[in-house]
Amino acid sequence: MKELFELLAEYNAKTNQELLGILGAQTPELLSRPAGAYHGSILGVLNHLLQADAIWLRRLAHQLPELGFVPPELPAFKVGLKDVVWDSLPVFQPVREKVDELLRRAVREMAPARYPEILEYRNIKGEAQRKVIWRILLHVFNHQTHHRGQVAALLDQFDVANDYSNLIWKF
Amino acid sequence: MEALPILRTMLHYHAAATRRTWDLVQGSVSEEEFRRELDFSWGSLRNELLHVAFVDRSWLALLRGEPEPPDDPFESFRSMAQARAVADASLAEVEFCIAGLTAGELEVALPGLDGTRWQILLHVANHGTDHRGRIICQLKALGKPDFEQDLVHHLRGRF
Repeated sequence: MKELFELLAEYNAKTNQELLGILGAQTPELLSRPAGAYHGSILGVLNHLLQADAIWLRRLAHQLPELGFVPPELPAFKVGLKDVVWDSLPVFQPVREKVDELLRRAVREMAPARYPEILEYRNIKGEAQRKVIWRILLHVFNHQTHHRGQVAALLDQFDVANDYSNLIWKF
Repeated sequence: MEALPILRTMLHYHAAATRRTWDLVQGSVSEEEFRRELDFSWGSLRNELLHVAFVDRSWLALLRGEPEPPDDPFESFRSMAQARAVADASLAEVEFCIAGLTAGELEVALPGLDGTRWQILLHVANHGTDHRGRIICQLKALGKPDFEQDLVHHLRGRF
């Protein structure tokens, strides 16, 4: 069901844009402040998400020729899901926006006939894996929502107003 | 590829992950910690967890064409068991809804609601994921354990 994934891709990009708008009004110190979160700070959580999305996009593009436009556009980085690769908002934001656009375009270009196919790839430990493509797409967008929820909790902790997450009110 | 298996997957995941979160809370948090005011969106674990349950049952009532049930004040829930009973009832409603869904119903635009049935159900699942992310942060702030919430982990063994 292409419409559902297109909605998730649009929601994802729009919500990230709203979140980036909120973060742009904060000090660099607040974004890097250790907060006892799973990835250390707001920027740490966002780096984890961006790395994960880029990794999934690369795996999908490796198998699906119609996503050949993806790899040249992806950021190059050494994978370390707990590392901060993009260490400030001005560095992070354009990469986030680029990857969100790639996700939208990938969903647009992917025919529904692909959804039940099996993606074969290696995880970051090098182990062979197999997963159904539609479940991977669901995971990618759900993973973003989960971690944006964590960022919202950190913003609450820092007394920064945030209300960007509800899907149903955006469309 | 139809939307029905996708929504079923998301809503089963929502119900399972929410129950697991409740199990974790009940197994690791004291009654005082459950009610303690924290600097998070709904103020306490109790309020955050109840908010998810209230939102779930409201949307499900609206999908059935019924009025939204009134939300009892958070303060009226004096124990985890009392709050859990509400959550369990709303998750049972989610599962009942999933079991009875047909592909044709998903596309129906609902009068007075912004969206079709599938969009609203997707919102219900997404809303739960967002709040479980917040709850995990609350638990971490209280020094409690967590669990792997990723959908791919939930689906492990099913590709």
